[in-house]
Amino acid sequence: MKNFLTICCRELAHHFFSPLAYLTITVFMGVTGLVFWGAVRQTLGEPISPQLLLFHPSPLWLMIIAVSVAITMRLIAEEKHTGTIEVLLTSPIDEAAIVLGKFAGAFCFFLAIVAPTALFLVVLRSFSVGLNSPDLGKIAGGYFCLMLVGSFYISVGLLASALTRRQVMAAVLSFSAIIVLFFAGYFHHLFDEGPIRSILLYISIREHVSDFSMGIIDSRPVVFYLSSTALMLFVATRAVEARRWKQ
Amino acid sequence: MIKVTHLTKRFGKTTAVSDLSFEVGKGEIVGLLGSNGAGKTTTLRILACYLPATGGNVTIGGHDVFTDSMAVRKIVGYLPEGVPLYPEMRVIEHLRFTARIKGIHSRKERSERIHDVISACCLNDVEHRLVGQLSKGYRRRVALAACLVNKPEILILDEPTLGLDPAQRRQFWALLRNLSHPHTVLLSTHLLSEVENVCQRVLIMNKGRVVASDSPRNLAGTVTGGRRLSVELQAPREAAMKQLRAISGVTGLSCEPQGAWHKFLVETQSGSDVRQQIFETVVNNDWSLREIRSEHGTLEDVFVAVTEESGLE
Repeated sequence: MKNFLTICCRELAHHFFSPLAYLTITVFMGVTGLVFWGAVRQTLGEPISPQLLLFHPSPLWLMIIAVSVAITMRLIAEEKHTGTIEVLLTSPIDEAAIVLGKFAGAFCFFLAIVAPTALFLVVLRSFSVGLNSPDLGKIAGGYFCLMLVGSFYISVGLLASALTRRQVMAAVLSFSAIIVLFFAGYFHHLFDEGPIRSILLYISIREHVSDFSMGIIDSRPVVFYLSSTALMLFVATRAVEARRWKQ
Repeated sequence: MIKVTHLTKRFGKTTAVSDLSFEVGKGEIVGLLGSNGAGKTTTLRILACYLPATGGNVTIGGHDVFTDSMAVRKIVGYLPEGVPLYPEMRVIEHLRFTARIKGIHSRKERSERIHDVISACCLNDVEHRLVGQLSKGYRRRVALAACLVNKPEILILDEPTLGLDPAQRRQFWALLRNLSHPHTVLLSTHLLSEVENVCQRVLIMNKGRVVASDSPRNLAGTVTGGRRLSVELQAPREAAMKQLRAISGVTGLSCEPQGAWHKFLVETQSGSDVRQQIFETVVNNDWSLREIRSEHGTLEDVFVAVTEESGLE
């Protein structure tokens, strides 16, 4: 547990001591802010919940994907490239602690990036006349969904980073995998009722976000994201351990 | 402390280490020599639990590196060849991080250990500087300090002075010799002159095998077979050659003129000492003698001889 915290703290420190981190936060806030503003302008006068304006636009999710890939591409690939992985793996520290610590550090940084978007809702509320009080439960549902999706994307990125020593390759791998999963859910309407449609609906982020931001907490997507994240982390741990396997 | 038995490591069809066996006793400083691609780094990486072996056994401090690697990692300090460090960290932060991942979780103990290694490695002046801004010499010291922070019983150092200038190399070896805690050290290098001064024993590797193992002095003796004396005399060349060749135990003789003097290189049988007879010959003939000196082969001679020999096999 202590080793896990040590690795997690190092990752967080690495993120926050880098100017790139603040640039990432600024760009993310700028783009998502513009998207939110555009959505508000388009729906002026319509009875629509503000949390839907925040969580539904696709550009937000594309930014989430980009941020997840940017955060995770270096996690293990950089250690392999610089050779510091040799120091880590020859220290008395478990591979699982390395992987989980890096995941936790990256996830905390991800939360630090997305958390300020809550300010959009506060600003909207402050400058809107006659708007009903926001439903905090629904907003929390939306952010809960964002956390689940974020943890899954970060675990995919971490796995990609564990498979290669080149950060660019890790970014391409994780971006490809995440983008396929992201858009797969959009094509469920192309299929008639059946197993393929069910599977696409099951992994459709758009469907999950709609449910969560309307206050419907369905256990199936929760299980899907948590189990997928756990699977990715398990495989990433095995990928790091593989170096020690007897050949 | 370290026992390697029939160790083999293959990468695909390439055999990096082949049936390697050796032992290192407690407190010994042993040098692993070999040309590029001899298998030194692979061997050290297996010993440090970074790579698995294809075959054979390695035990360190009584623990098997394959089945009980966590116990081995607790007692081994490993310095990889490239000296990988986190350049964005300050020296003190790097040492704190290393101390934590090496299991020193008590804040007080951690501070004491970091203070000790900073003093031992002479890092006081740079402890708050970024690792990425340090010179190579200081980076090596930081890496060594990180190795020593948990007082490991065994140090495994892969090319610890690679890329350092002669003055920095000298400082590094002085540092290693002066470590207060007695360590068992296994190090690899291709700088033979340094090994002669630092190591009690040398293992010479070629093509994944140990081709020679002994103290540097004994190894140097093996390459010259017997003994070679350099004798500088003021004497008639032919007469001196005749008289010196007649001494029992002399197996070879050559002469180089040096102005009014001659330098005779006298080869003798292993175990025979003819210095007394040479001196008596000089006195009896009323010649002048200005030097009589034993010449030993160098470790470099040994290295070239054994690697060429094993290459021909």
